[in-house]
Amino acid sequence: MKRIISFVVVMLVVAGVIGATTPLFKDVRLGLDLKGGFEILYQATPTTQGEQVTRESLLQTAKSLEQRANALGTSEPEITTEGTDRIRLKIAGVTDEATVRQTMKEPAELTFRSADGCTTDSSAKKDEATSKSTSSTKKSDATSKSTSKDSNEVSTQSAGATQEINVDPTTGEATTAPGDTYNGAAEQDPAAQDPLKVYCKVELTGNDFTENGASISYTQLNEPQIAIKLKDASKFAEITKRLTGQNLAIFLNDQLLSAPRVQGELSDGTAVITGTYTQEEAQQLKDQINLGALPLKLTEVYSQSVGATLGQQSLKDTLLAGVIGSILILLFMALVYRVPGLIAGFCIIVHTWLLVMIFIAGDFTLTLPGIAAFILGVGMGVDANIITYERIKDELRSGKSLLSAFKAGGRNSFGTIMDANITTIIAGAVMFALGTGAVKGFALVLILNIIVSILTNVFFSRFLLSLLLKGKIITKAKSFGVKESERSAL
Amino acid sequence: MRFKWNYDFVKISKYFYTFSIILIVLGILSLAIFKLNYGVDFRSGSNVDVTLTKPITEAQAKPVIEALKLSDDPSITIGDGRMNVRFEKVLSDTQENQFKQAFTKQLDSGASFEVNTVDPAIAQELERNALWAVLAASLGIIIYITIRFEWRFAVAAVVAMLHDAFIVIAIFSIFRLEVDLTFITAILTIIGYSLNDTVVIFDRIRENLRFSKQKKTGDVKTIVNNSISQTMTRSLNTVLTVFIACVCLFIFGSESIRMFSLAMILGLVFGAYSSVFIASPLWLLLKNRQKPKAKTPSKTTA
Repeated sequence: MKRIISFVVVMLVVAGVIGATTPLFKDVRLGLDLKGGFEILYQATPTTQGEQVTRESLLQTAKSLEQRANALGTSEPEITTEGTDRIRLKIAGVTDEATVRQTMKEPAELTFRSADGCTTDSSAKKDEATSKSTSSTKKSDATSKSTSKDSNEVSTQSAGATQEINVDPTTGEATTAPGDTYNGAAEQDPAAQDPLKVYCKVELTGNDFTENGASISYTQLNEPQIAIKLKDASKFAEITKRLTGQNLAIFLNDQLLSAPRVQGELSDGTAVITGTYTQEEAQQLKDQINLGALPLKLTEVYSQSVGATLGQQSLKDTLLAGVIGSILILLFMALVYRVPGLIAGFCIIVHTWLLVMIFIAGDFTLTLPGIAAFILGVGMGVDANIITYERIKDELRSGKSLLSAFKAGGRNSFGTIMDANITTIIAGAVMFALGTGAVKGFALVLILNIIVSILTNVFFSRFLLSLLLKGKIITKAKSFGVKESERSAL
Repeated sequence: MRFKWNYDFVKISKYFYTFSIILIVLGILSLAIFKLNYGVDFRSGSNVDVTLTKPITEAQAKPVIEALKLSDDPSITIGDGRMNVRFEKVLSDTQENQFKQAFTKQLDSGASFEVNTVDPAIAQELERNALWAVLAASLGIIIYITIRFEWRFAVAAVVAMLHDAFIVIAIFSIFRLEVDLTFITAILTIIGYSLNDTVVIFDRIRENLRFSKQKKTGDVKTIVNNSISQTMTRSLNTVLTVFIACVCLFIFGSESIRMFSLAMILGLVFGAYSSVFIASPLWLLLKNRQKPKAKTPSKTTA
């Protein structure tokens, strides 16, 4: 009687817990193949030739990408490095994929360029005019026109140890005021319109700046200015010495951000870019320089994008398949193995529930092949029960009593189940170690499946069955699907 | 004791050996001549899967896609509510956008897309990694089974396992079924499953060996036959349950994992088949060559 009560209590409690926690299922993190989104695998190469991709630079690049993704307000971007020179980026639920993709790649190529030795007959004046006319509209600030000239003329100040370049922020007058003289100058010389041709020589790349080396400080007039720090002071000194009086243009990809004029040699590796920036502009330029301090150049080598509706459809279809498959398996077990079959069915439900809970607790991402592994897991979890029950049936046929057949069956089948499952775990571990993306996800589910299956479909199932046997609820071999006539005396 | 499955499995296995060898030879020929029908995961190029909200014929789609001039002769396959466009060339993200915009504007405004793009170097690498994974898994499994059983079991199990994996690959090659990244996952699962099944039978053989005294040379054969019959119900029931799961995935599951489910179904059937007709007789063959030690089998199998 005691055992019957404990059996009922255990069943009710477990069923209650499962029922109560089922609403949590919506918290499972779904992979982008199930909710839509995109995944890009980048191949990283050094920005300058001859350099190597180091672990450090790769990690730094990944970090910068993450900052950028976060700045865009995307939901939970996943950025992981892979191998020695790859970065995988996963962003789910993005509506404007093109923009995100473009922005993610953008910080890859921050360059400081000069017109030194360029073949175009561009004089310093033209450079200046061009840079102004083509600069981004984002930095447009009509009010800065009057002051920009002045700031261009400010000479190098030696204030203590810190030297400065005071520069023209090259605000986008051209676009805000079409009749502007600078714009006119540019139109007269179409060849000079391409700032990339004007500033042909790459002097510095994002790699030359210290990480998060750009910061905002304020002038005495409380105007924001951008301070930058460089890794190699002597290199910067050489460049600034050579380019004194010329412009040092800042490019993000092919887009000219700013073209400050170098006022003199800077020997300590720091510089300040002043101008009439608004707070926002200064912030943006700072961010661009910081995010642009990306040591590596990225090229897309693999990409997958899944539309949101397509992902949801896949999820729906596969879940439906899972439910139908599971019901059929449960029916099969109940029909073939009677009472123990029902217990197996109950344990399979516990098994699936526990796996989902592990996914929620571990914050694992469930992918489409992952669901497939889940459903396979139901089939394979059932295997543990089938092996045990078949063994018990064998023992019953040989004439053993119910309880001793149960004990012998459990003991004899355990080794088999372990051996069989460990070989599958080995295959799963190899997949996890060598696989990427979806394969890894699948392997993880497979391994967890097996471990959970041993807990629920071996130990828990055995515990429930022992309660029924000892509580004398199951008293006939028929309950195991063995006819009395099949049993031989010992 | 009575068993429902009293057949001479070892004797009839020679027909199955012939069958397997023919299939493997066909597979090798097909792989050598036609190779595998690689999906975009393994081939350079871009693959666009479009889920349509209304029916579109190829005649409607072709001019729109060709007008974009994204690639020479993109191949268009139209299915039920879906359309697949494959470009031999890798599309850049701007091109990808062009395609999407043109498609939603001119053909189906509610269409949703799945775009996969692969660089040739990555494709090769995926294939190489998969091969390594299979080899590494085999090695790990051989070591485990050799420790738990003996090397003869390990060899027989791995041969059966590679047999299963290869036959599924061969069938995919012969019938020109598309091979993508999930196919590798399926093959690795088949390997795991095939072993699972083989180990259960081997476990029974080992157990029966331990409790029997062998006097005549045919005794080990009897043990193998008995062990197979004893585990037959279990093998059939297990295969059936996993089979149910896979068939449901194949029929009702998402289009993206259809080929995965098919590979799994084939792998399951061959996994169960090889455990009985390939692995166990092969173990017997190896065992029978070990004449001197046959007198004290309990030591060798303990």
